[in-house]
Amino acid sequence: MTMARASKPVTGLERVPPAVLRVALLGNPNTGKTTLFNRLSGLRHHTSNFPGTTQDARVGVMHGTAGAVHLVDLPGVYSLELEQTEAELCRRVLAGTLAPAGQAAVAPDAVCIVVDSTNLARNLVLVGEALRRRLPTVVVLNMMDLARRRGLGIDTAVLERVLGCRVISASARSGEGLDTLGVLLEAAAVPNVTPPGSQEGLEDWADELAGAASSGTAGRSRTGGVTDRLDRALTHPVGGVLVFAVVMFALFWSIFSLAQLPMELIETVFGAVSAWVQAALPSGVLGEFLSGGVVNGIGATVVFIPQICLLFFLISLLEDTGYLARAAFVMDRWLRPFGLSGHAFVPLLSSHACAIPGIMACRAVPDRRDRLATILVAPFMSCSARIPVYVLLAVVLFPNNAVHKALAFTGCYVAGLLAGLFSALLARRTLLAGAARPMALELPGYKLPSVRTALMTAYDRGLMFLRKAGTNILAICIVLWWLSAYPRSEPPPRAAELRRQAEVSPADAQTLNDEADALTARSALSHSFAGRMGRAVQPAFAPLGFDWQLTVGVMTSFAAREVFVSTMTVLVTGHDDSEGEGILTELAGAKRDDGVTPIFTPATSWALLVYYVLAMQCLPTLAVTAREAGGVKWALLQLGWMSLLAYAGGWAAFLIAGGGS
Amino acid sequence: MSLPVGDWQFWVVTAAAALAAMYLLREVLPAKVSPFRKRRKGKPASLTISGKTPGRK
Repeated sequence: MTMARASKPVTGLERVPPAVLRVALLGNPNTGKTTLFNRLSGLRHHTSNFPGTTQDARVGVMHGTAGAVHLVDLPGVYSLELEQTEAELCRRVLAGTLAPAGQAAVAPDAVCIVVDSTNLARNLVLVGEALRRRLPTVVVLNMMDLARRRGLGIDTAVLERVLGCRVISASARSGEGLDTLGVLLEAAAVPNVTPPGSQEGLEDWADELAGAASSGTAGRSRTGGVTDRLDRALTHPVGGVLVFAVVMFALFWSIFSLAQLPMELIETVFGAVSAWVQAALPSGVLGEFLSGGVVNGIGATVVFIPQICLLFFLISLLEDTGYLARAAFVMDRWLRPFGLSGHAFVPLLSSHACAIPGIMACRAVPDRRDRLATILVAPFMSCSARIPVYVLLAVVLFPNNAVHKALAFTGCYVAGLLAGLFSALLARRTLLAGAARPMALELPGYKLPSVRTALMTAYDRGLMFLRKAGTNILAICIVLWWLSAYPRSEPPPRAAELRRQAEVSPADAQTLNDEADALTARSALSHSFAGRMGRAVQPAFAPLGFDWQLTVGVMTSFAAREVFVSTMTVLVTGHDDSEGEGILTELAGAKRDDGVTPIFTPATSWALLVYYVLAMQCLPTLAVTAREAGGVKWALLQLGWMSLLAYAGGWAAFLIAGGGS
Repeated sequence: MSLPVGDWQFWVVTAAAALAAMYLLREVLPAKVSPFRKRRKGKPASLTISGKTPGRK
């Protein structure tokens, strides 16, 4: 049985043929395992979880003459014997007691071990451990191009003789040397050697073997040279942090600025589709539902895609260069006092753009407790959806002072960050108590990143978001639309009077009809189920100084924070043009039902500001938390804790600002 | 102020909203108590030795 072109990806993700050969891809972190996986399977792969874990399980398919070959991408591990989730997962997959969701739990037919050619001795330890499993094995010496450039040479014949299995040198990035991999995998046999059983013996064995097989300096640690000089700068306690700050600022800025255009484009397209749907359908509630609920719901999902794809594209590039490992090392000492690891910094930073990609980025945090703590506190970071609320309240509180406005903005970001860090500390001392995993990582060599791998990662993450979180976001939008649309109410008498005036006064008809529409919309929302719930819940928010209108705003924005401003605009002005000129001033001067007291008193505004800094007002984020943390209980805990803090903080702010007097 | 029960469009959108709510509840409720999620029943396996059930003549 042979394979003609093993590296050629097949197409049509939805028709995954049954496997004739199951291959587990094993390797140390940063050995180019994922690049090899992408090279072999192309787009022909799907991502799920290993059952009972939040660990990604990527299964790729490549062509063989006899049928499909399934590749299972295992997490990168330094040793199979470590007491870590990833190592245990690899052990169980190799033992045949665990498989990706939907796959039969049987031992793989072959193991493909990916080895970093520039660091042979360290990688051979894992090879030795895998050989002891007595599974058909092929070893791929990856990054041979890089090794050649460094003047390193490896004698594969020596390795084959000592390891007792086939060894090929290749470059996953260029595809060099991979033509025969499929054939070798099919013909793989159980190695006829048994490496030493003890860890010390295995390390000695790996060192000896690397020395015997290498020419140049392969197998020995890299000393001196550009790598060490760069490492000294990039991991310096002060300089390293500064470089990291610059790199992260560039990443953050790129996400904000580059995603802006596609996001606006998506919003424009969905706005046009929404208008077209409403115009194309006969008048009635079905058209309103399809345009306002369904199309807007899909738009609310798709609009996150540019940020998510861009974030993961850039992170993948950074990771591929070898810098991310240095960044994690540098940040570890800053985050460790709060019970978080250096791996948490990128998720927390990207949560400032949006908590959803931030939480999804937590998959890069290897330790389960660290990962859960990071997921739980990520929504405390001030995301872009909070900005409209901050803007409104800054205008209300400091109408004529730009410096105070800027300070208030900065204060919001700092308050969110501090709340997140202290919540993480609390979580790690209570619910997620346990010894912190020391951050042990091998700094990989610097290399040019693979754009292909980065694109694959971005595609994969975007698709996963659409499949997993997108459906929930759409469902939430539909339910909220219904609650805001029913029951229908009669237009207020004043609106009817304005329309009558418009009929007799054609010159002012437009203005009068607009005013009538505004009144009707305001009345409809306040009498809807959502509005009634706001009135019913208002006593609970009375200690924070919220009237029923603010309570409705808070409640409707429970789905998404940015909805607050548009809801308040509808309630106060009757239309939802929250970007109209002077609308913020109009909102700032809006009065309560008594017609005298402002809705936004200074004390209420402070309470509202603190509330929105701390509150979990984003159902899509909760949906993603439930998915990524591995249970609804974590999402409920996040919601409960953040709501409690927000309420207590808002109340305290209200009292301090003189609202109680 | 009422629900337009005589309007067929109302029922269509209400059904869609109910389905969406059920979908969300299905996600939120644990599988044990969820009325929307079927629990897989264990399939009894008959133990045989050489194709015959032990103890049966």
